[in-house]
Amino acid sequence: MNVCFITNELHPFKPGGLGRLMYNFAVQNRDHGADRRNFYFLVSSHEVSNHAALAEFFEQNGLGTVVATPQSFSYFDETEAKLFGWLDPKEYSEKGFVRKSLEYYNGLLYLQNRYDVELDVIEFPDYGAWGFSTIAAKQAGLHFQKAQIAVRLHSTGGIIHDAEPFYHRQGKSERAFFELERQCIEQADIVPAHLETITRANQDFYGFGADWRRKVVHEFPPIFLDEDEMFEGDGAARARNFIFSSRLQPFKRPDLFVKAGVIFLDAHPDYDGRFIVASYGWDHAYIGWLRELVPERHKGRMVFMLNAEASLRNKLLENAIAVVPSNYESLCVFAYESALRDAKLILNRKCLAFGEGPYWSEHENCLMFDGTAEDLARACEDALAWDKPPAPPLPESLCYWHLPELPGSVATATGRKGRLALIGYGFSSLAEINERLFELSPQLKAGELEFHVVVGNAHRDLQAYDLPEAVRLHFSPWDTPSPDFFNRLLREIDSDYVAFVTHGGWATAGFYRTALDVMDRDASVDIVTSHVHALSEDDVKDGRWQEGDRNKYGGEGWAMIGIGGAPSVVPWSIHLVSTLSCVRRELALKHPFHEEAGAYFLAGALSKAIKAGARVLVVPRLAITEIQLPVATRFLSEQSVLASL
Amino acid sequence: MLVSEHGLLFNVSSDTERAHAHPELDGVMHVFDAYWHGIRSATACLPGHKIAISHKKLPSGDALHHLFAYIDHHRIRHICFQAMSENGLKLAELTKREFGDAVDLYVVTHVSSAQFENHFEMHMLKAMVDGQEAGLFRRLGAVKPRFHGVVPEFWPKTIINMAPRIDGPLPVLREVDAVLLPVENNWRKNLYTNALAGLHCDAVKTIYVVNWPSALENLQELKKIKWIGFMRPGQIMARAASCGAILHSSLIECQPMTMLEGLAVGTPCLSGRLGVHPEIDAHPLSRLCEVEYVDDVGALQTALGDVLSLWRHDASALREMIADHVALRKRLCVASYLEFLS
Repeated sequence: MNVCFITNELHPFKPGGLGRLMYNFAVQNRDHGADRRNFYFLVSSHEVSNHAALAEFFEQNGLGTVVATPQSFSYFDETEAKLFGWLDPKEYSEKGFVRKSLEYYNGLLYLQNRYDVELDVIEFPDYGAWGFSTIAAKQAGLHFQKAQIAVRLHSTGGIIHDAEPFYHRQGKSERAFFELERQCIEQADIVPAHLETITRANQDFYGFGADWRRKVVHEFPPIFLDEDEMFEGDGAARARNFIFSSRLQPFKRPDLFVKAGVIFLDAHPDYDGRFIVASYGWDHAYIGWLRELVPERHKGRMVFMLNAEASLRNKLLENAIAVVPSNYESLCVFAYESALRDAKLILNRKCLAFGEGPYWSEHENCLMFDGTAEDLARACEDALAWDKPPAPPLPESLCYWHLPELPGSVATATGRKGRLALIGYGFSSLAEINERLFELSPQLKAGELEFHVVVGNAHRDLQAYDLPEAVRLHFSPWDTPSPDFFNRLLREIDSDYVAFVTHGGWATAGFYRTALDVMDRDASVDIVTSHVHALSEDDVKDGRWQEGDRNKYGGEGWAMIGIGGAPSVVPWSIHLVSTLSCVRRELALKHPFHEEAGAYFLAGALSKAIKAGARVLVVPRLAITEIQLPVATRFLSEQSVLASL
Repeated sequence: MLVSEHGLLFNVSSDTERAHAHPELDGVMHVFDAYWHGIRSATACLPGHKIAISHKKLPSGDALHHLFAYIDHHRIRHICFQAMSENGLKLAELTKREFGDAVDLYVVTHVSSAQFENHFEMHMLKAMVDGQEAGLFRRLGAVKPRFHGVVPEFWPKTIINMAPRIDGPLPVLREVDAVLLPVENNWRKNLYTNALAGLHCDAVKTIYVVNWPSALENLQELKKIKWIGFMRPGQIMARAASCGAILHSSLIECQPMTMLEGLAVGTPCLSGRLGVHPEIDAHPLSRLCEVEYVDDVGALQTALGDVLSLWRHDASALREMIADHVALRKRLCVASYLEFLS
């Protein structure tokens, strides 16, 4: 069995609980004898610069194969490779987030091809929605048909922001990030989780139903210490220092540690130990603020040792009482490692993983405080005097890839072959209609779709042409039909799915085939769309061949990135999905077009459907092309349409 | 579809979706430049494996590794370079070094001696001849008829291009009084002569142009002309399919793909005399659509009028003529490649 983990950190090369867990999985698997799986680790070449050394270390230690994502989108078509490549991987926006997920999708294809393997399990962390494109590729039937895609519950950005309510803006990018993460957890085949209480918290936070619970597999991950992390003797009993060794990030509450230290030191001027922040972080302003919390009088006994090497950190841990004041943890490997060291440990009772975690028992294997600095200072006093009994062994369980049968979700098939009605409008010449007919001719001949061409009454001469059977003509009083005309047409046509097409935009014929397959296969998908290859009017009309500069002809346009079903982003944008997407007709009938929405009739109705919870699949390709034409209206704006939703 | 990374494109859809199949040519690998569009279009019609390279960037070691594994895996024995660049030459040398006599390399040039003002063409031709002498290339061919008269080391026969593969009859809303003029505005492509022929022809109501014949309004009323701007390759075929004819009388050509793409969708193309092959020259469609002097507006206008008149009076004869021409091109193309690679 081939198992691949996607990560941007791996112990011992980069700190972080996630990277530590993966390393532990690898060690456990290596030592699992004949039943071991083939482990692969896909790391981002943009984020993990030392991946060659990492790969060598993992190979030498029999831990698995580390593969870096290719620098380019090499498993996409040319235009996609170019346009996706132009997106900034570091941009904090839906473009940056989805680009990252495309990078991993491309990396998985590269990995399979490079090592000539078919992956059975692909595991993403929940943070960052890195699985968004890979999950969509599987659902769209493009790749990974035999793989089970897992999204492990660590901590999503959404959950972290919820635990850091005072540190973040709430804008479109944040909402998009959280919605992308939510869709990944919701649509994964398997959701491995460590603690029941955290699973419940995720379920409540995202509003998942009972069906989702069936995908969750609870397992206690392997947690152990390497030789250089274990201490001999009774360090715990003699410990006088207090140490904070989680990441410097608001929800980890290093501020509580510092504040409690100040209260404690004021109360105990003769205390001979120190409060040590042995940690790392990336928000310099935040770290600066933490340092400023330390009054001048305590600077000698409240020390910051940032980015300390592992050996020094271990040395510091040996003689210290560990404090984990986090608001939220999904597990906290460090806390369990501290238990393995038999260290004294102070935990925040308000944190679900500690207060409601099955392993932790106050006064037996830890001390707890009530989430305030005053109470933490009190717990520090208790800890110095506490005669700690030996910690009980950690729970053990088998990881799901060792189960005899992999758990996984099964889509509810409609059990029938649906029909797609394509509605074309806005054509200004026979040639424009013919372009669509030309592109769709294989599908029309195969009877895969019917093409409803809507033209103004002035073009009734079209009836004289010998049109293919699957093409139907409709005449409207105006060349641009009114939204009510389309409402009536939608009621009249007898198809399962509908999509619109104009001269200003089109989808590839392959996209319609994919959409039909997806909607036949999975009754829960309401809308199938793709990222959009956007062209400006200038790109299209500007004859750059003019005067012979042939190297520049034809604008390349840009990629507009889809984020799928993201109801909470609707207030920011009515363009969450392309108006050329495929939609279940019953959904379209449920959200009729507003006659007064004019040119925004489709975008408005789709936004309304998404706001009401429609499920969207974004095929990870640039299958839809749109020419960005100015909307010719004096009365409407996107904002007014948004306000009406 | 598989696209490898770092500088090579493997069988991307635009290079394969309109390709013909042939049991003896399906195993041939064609290597061409991704940025040389006309040559790429011609290669896209051929059977076989399609590898796009870039004259701007050498493929990486990873890409080469991938390419060699691909050649090995598919047991490829004939590799045909469609035109040549410095990077193509390096790739040829590395491939020969890797496979030795197990793989034969060929080059097909798509150049005319009229283009030699661009000295790059002559540098590359010299490199091809040197390569043939050194045993790197087994044979050098050209799609320009009688090219061995330019460089004697080239194969004396002509490699024939074929039209893209189109499956079955297309749904066509044809405006037989519209013509498509999809050429650049430069001296070679003769935009103004073509535009004037269309403007003077009474049977023409609309001329769709990709490039505007700037300043022609000084001489003519241009109401018939509609500017459609840049079009994607598939789109231009669709537009051609809805017109009565294509205007493409240019000053220098080998075997223009615009013509072959038009014929593939059943639209005749007006051109100058091409002299590609005796059978093609003698074909009734060539006699109908070719004019003797490429800048003879009157002759072009007359030929255009004749073609459009056929649509009105005997459309099925015209369709049959075009289908026969397309089949002839395919037969000759396959025969030329089979002989060239033998």
